[in-house]
Amino acid sequence: MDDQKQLNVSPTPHVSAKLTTSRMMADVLIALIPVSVTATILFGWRTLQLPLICVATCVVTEIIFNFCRKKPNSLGDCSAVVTGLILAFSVPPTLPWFACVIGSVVAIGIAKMLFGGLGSNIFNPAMVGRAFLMICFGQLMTTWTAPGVEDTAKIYATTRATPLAVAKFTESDRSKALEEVSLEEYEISLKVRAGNPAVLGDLLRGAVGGCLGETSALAILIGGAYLLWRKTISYQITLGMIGAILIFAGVGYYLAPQQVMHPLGHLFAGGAMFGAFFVATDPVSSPLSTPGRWLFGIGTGVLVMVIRIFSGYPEGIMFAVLIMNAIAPLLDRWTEPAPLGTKVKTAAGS
Amino acid sequence: MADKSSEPSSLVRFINGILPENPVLRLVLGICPTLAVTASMEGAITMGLAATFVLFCSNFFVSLLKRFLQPHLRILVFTIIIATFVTIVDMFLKAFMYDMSRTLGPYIPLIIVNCIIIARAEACASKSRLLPSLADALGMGLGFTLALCILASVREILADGTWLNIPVMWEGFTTWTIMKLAPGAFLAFGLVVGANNFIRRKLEERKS
Amino acid sequence: MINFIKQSALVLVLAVVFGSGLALMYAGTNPLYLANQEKATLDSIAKTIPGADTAQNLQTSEVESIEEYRVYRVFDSPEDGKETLLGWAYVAKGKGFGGDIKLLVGLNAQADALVGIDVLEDVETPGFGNYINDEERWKSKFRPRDGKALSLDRNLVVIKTTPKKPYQIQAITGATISSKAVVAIINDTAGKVAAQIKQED
Repeated sequence: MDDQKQLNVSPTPHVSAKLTTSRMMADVLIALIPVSVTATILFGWRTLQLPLICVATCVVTEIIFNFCRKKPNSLGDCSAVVTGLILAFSVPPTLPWFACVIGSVVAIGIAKMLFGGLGSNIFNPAMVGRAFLMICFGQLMTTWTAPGVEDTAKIYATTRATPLAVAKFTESDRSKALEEVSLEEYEISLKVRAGNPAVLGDLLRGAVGGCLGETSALAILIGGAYLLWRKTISYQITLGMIGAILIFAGVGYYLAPQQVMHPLGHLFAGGAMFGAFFVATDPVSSPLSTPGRWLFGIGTGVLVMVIRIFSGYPEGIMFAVLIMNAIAPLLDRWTEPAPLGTKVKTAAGS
Repeated sequence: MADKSSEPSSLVRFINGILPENPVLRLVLGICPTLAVTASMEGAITMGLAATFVLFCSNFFVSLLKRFLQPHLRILVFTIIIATFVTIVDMFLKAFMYDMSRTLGPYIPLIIVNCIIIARAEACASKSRLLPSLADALGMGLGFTLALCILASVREILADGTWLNIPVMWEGFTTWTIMKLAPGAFLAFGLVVGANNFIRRKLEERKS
Repeated sequence: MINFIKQSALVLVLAVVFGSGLALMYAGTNPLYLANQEKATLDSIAKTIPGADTAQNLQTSEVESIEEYRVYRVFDSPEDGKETLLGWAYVAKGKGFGGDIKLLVGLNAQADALVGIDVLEDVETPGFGNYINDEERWKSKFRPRDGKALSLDRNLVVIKTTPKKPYQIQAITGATISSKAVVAIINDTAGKVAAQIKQED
């Protein structure tokens, strides 16, 4: 049972490169710096405690589980730190400390270590932790505060609902919407729906309510570009997901502008960007083969839009990623590349 | 089984059911009610005792009638016996514990298809004498109740901050809604079974 | 044939014996069960109609002529014989988030305003939707505010913020769909039932 010595076989070509787990994770940490900086600027210094608590709990949980299972220490690969950070950046800035601790213990303990540690987990640990928190403390997880930035965000200062939540209202039910949200919120939602450039700019800068790390699309783009340049994440998943969201929302916006908001609004408001660069690209719980990765990205994007438009939830990144995680092994099997000169066995036969 | 001397005694049967062969924690039988009714201690105790009563009565009759059982008719006979006593429990709850019967809803009638009961009728009562069968039923029934109570304690304390409706957590405790729902039931069940196995293994290591 | 009966004799005997036993048990417990159900409805009515809990001798009679809904006339008839009409209650059903919701809706004596609701059956999500069973969080919102009952002239509207108008009902946090479902059931039925009651009188 020495899985430390297990061979990992990935489809060819086997390029020899210094791509180790710890280097990948270090890259992710570097890429998260812009997000951390903007989150701190937007929501204030006190929000720094969220990432700190999550990371500390994740690390301690990993040590305890390794000790109980008499395994060597696996902290060196930094994956616990990354999980903690991603979890912290995908929760509302107002989340109390005990919820952070519980979410981190579930993420590392149940979603990762009980499955056998890094490499054996089926689901993205951070998203499992978030899903647990979402179901457990629904009220805490859907209480948003507006970022504390003056002037540019003045109109958002009173906003409690995120752009996505408000966007469920359309122009036709103006009177109905105004009974539920303020005039400012309603007008912003209309502007987002219509793709107003000024409001989209605000979304890019992050002057809106939302999860800690997902509000500023620009910061995510900077970090994501670094990851793509370092080839730490596979561009297939990111592009597939963003493309699917844009196409789905674009077609929907063209056909039914009353139900679907502007594609760029869908991309920049909410967690789509953060999900596409940092969450869905988790190398463990996503497929290995190139076509599999395309399918994975496209599937996630389509599911996000389906959940956003047709379900009771305003946001769908977390559930979309978890659902696609579950079928990632199938995607790998369906898209298994044939060794040169042989025929692939029919899927039913394997 | 023909050799009478190898048959476990009534006492062994009784003790076996409670922990060493606990139907839920060791044999992993009867999981549907285990997951469904353990959101509160009251429900778990009622369910456990109802199943114990049905188990006791069915083992009693099956053991009495074992000589008349035709191989191809035995499942039919088991089902008649079990269904009768489940219906009796259902009527009793509706008449005397109306609120509880509404809380447990369809899970009382569903005792009919509880694997534990038919498994004990098949594996024990139809082959054993009356006394060991009854001891077996009581042991298994109490083991089932015990497992339900352990799981319900975890879930009720986390989900409501109460135990048997008595507040046990500190003021301002944020309740874990997930523990009331199906995902919480699965998680808690897995962790309790895991903990049970872990403790068992530690005890065995110490023995050897 | 003889062989067949011989083989199934045990099953036949058991079926007859247990069947008659169950029949006896049923005869014994069913009146109690029905009484429990009746009591649950009465309790529910007593909680819903103001003044019913303090009534000396609470009586209900089902209005037979309205077939679509079970409508109860709720009145107090104390020993001294002077009967007072307390209000009306009816059972309404509709789709919730998790399945059907069965409500008991209370109307005032004039059948022109809502005085309270009670949830008889629901399968809403625990911790979210099933707060519709909660007096403080939800049911109290349908009681008369500042002595004024909710008029049936205007449909109720679910909002997420603190209500400013009498017809606004604040949704349960995290359970907007369940909140809206309950209000929709009331909006769909209250007017119709009230009209029928007025016709009766």
